[in-house]
Amino acid sequence: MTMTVRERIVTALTGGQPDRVPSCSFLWDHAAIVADVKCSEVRNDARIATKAYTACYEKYKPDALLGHHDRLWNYGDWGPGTGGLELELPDYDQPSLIGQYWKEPEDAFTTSAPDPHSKKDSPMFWRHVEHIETLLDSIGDRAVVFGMHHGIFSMATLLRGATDFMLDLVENPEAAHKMMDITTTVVLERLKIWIDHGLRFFMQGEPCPSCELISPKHFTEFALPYLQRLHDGAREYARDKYGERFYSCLHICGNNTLILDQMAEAHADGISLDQRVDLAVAKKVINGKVGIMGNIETTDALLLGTPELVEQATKTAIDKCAKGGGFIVAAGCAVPIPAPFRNVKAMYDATIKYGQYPLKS
Amino acid sequence: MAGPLLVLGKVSHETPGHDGRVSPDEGERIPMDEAREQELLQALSDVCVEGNYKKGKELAEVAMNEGLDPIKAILDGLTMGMGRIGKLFERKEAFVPEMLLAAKVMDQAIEVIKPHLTAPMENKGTVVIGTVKGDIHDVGKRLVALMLRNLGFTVHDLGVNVAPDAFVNKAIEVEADFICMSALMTTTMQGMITNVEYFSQKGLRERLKIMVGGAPVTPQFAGMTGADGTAPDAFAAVNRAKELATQLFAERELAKAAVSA
Repeated sequence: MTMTVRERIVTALTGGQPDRVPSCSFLWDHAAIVADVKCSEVRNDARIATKAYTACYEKYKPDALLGHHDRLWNYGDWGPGTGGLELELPDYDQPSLIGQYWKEPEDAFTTSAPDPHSKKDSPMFWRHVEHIETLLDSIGDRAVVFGMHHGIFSMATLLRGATDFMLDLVENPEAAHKMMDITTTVVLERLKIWIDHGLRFFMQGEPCPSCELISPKHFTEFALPYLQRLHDGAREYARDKYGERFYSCLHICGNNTLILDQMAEAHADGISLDQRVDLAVAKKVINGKVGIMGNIETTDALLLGTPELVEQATKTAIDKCAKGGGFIVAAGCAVPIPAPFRNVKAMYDATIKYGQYPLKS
Repeated sequence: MAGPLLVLGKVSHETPGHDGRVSPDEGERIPMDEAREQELLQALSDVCVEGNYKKGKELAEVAMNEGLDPIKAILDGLTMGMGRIGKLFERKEAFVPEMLLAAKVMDQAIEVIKPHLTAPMENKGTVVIGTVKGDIHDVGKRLVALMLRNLGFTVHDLGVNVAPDAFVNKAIEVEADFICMSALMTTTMQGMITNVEYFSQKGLRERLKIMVGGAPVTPQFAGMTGADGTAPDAFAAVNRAKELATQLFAERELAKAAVSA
């Protein structure tokens, strides 16, 4: 029996076996290339962002699509803080954060955060809202749309400055906890507004609480409780206000084999894995607790490889992780901006070719 | 904790049977009692691994007051400690916060030791390092810079979002032996390819070694950039830098010999 895309994604995301393995696009600024616009045009105009992602849907036909998230939209409302935070805004790449929002650890206790509910205080966030809303209008009947935001731990890391935040974990844990409390509160309020505007699926992109950077102990102390709070808060809000289910997925960059168990405890419905994690190991460790998304290699396969290589990589991913369901094919991280279209398309085509249940291999 | 505490406690109550001080008459360093020397070196190594920079400074002061050779204190004490924590990092038993803390211990202890150096330490190589234009990630790069500096390299860290010209200008100014570039995004790492071409146009390519690194930088991609080396993590990067430094200096010696022949 053929499922709707929503049924397919929800089934796989929550650990079940759908009619076939679904795919999810993780395109980020590659979308600008697809639409032949500049990255700056995408971030400066929500309608151009939506056009770009709609073009991506038309080109690649994934079952689910992660909407755009931009450092300008995520960080642009914070202002300079005590450390003189600024954003550099290139035409063909993501913005760079220069400086720090919190110059000293104790500044976390005295500075205020932007109020997402105020359009005057948070114009960049409301551009993000417009993008989500228009994207849902544009393709929401044909694909599952995930709103995407930079992760709460990564946000605290960038607002404090990466080196300083890493040291805060060991030298100023109270301040680190306060920063996590602040970013969690802000992102949760943003999520509630997205829910009010129709969003029901959410992905957090977390480069920083990775085992490439912090220990499992620090992940458990400084990331996990806040991730749980965020995912629970969003789910409860959608349930209590609309009687509807809200689905979350957590992406953490890097080789996180050491914390697969904890990632599955973050109260998200699914986890998205970087290419450095062995999907066979992940499948065994996760054991159906949450859905798994991933993890086609971005540099050697999608950027530098061939469609044949990508097809083979996708088949291998399905062989390792899709048995019994609970698996969604996606890139291991954001598709590189200049990745050849034929390589990216090969990933989605291969998912349909090799992902019909019951699986042939 | 026991190691450094014991050392500090011992020193405050007795003057051990060493006299590692410089003889005022002869101007020569008198050899220190070997057991005491080893004790202090071990304590300096331990305090790096423990990440206690307050104790590290105190220990460095004690060591200098007792006449421990400052070069030994740095190379056989602190650097050994950094090596130990580097191995823990490799085995995923220590992570970035612990490495940064250890580096802080070493930095602060070296500030205490530096005035006691009678000659500058051997420069293992001059490095210009930075994260490429458009990229703001710096933790891994900073770790590499710290570890190289602590191993005796002279490191000029240009920070993040570094334009190609900035790499070139600094490399020329300081007569660099290395340019090391970091990127954490597949978008920004493309800049490494154009940067290396640019370094060639500016006549730098044959004069130094280039290393590239960062999470998305695979060996295949590193090969495409034309760089001389890459590594999967900070610890491996430092080891690779040491190998390339040996290679570079050997190449220069050969070139000199060829010119004089």
